Amino acid sequence: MNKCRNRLKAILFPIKMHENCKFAHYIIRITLNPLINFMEVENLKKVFLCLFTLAFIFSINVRALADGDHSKNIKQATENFKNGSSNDQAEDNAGMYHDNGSDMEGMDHDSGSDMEGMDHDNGSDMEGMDMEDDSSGAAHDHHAAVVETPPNYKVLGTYGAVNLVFILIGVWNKWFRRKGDLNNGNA
Amino acid sequence: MAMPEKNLPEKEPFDLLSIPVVKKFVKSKWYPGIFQWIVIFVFSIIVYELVIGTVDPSKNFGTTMTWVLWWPIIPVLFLVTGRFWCAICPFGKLSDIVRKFVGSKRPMPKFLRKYGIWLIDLFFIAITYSDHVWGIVESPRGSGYLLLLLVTMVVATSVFYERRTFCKTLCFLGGLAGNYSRSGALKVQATPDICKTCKVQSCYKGSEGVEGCPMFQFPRTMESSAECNICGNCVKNCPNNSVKITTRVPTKELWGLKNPKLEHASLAAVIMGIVFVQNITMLEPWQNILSAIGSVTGTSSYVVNFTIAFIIAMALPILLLLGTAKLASLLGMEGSIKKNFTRFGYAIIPLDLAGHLAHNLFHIFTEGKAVWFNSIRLFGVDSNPASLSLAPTPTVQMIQYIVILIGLVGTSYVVYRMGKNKNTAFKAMLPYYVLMTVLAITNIYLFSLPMMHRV
Repeated sequence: MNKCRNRLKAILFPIKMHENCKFAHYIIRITLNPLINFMEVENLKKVFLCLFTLAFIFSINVRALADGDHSKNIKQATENFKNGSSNDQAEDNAGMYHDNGSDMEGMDHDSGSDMEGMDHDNGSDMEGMDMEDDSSGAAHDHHAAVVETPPNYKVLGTYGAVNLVFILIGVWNKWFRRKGDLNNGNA
Repeated sequence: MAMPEKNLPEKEPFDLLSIPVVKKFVKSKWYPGIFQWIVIFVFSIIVYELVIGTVDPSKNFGTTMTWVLWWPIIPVLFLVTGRFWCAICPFGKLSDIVRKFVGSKRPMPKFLRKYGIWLIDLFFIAITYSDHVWGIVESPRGSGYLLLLLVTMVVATSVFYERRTFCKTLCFLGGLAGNYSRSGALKVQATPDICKTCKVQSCYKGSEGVEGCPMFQFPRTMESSAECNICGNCVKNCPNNSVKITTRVPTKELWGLKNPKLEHASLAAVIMGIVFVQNITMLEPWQNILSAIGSVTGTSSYVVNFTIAFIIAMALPILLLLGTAKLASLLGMEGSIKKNFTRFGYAIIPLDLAGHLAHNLFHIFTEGKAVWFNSIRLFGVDSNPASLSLAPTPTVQMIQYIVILIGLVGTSYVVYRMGKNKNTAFKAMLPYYVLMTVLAITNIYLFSLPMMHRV
């Protein structure tokens, strides 16, 4: 029993606790070290079982969940891309799906490399796509029309104020507190 | 009679300071000042444009300079010049200025000294994560606020603490810079025979005109280039001309490390995961992956599903490396799994570098003209170019494959040298060779798929 407990202790508390920084040490302890110890002891069967389970879950074909016809566009884009389609072809494709004038005012990124044929307007913009709500994906929407917004002076002012406070602390510290200390002979 | 190869004296590395003009320049006040002022000037324009200029990322000078130009070339800089970028980094210069005028120069807190590198790793992961969740890269305002946040952190640490505490313990790029610089071709080193008679140690303490090492390094005992900025302060301060700036074979430091650390090895593995994430989120199968995760989690929330994908991508290289360490020990490798994990984690660094570079080459080659057009836009020259591309996609892909292959060669060579140093049998090394090859093939596969643009 004691042996078992000691073994468990060795797994859960692999490094001696430092005097300070207990929190940081705790973070390390609960992340990497148990993992390493887990690999050290004879638990490989469980590891492989987990890996196989994960592999099984992710091998299930879930393409049916994609948004309907849209996947065809992506497949077409991929095919075009792999065939090394020419710029002309690519531009044709771009024209097919960017026909509402939202493609960055003529800044066509050499469409051979621009995910040809993808309809960016029906939620297919891959990076940063918001599966919950289209309206929140403005920052991610690569080729959507950009609505110019004025600078946010509140945020900028806050940054300025915080930095100014730090500078003032520095000024007080260096030019008043320390000089006062020097004058009092406390240097 | 010819000498046996083993008995030949090791070739003396080339000292850049043996060139009189270079030595004069490094010792002058112009180095690295002239570069610092140029960079801080450009940085000011970038921040201004990001927070005040257009919100269209493809037309914003700040976005293109930061994410299309700077971010792709940074790994090349680390590889060629070590951590020289950190010497001329605008945040570093800002820290120097703040410390000079209002710094109270207290010693670095114990907590930061001990766990700084973990904080760096954490910040790096947090920034990458938040970029994907809030779209910092695509949003000029987001990028601007991120830079301002870093400025605030620099000001705060510089007001209170000595030297470059921020760069050493908090800068999100610090871990990446350190790891990549280990593969770098430049190294600062002191001559032990000269240093042992030195009584002043001004390289560390500083002299009247020049501050001591801003990165808290002592050149005499410095074994790694990971924390040397090549700022030249030690060269300027040394009264005995002991310090050299030498060239070396890239990646050489990786296989000769005397004290490998778990945090560096973990970061190397995590960076590989981040490169995967960066690639996958710009690729065609990304939507399918999100849907697959969504079907498991039962939610369509992007944040939730992305977080899970992100964690898996981070954990995967770590788990693979751990599994490989276990397998290698089963095949007869000496040392504990933790020790082998730590040692061979460094071997991933060349592949990390190659993956990072290859991914960003896509952006610089296919969006590179934006740098020029957005620069001239600052002077009122508005243009609507037909294309932003510098090279066709197949060419870019070919370059990406070559870069990954070079990375694989570098990584495999490091693994080979690490094994050779410990006289490890090939059988025990085999799992590492296989792992590195699998990582390289995965990268190549990802680069073969169509990718989205950044701006």
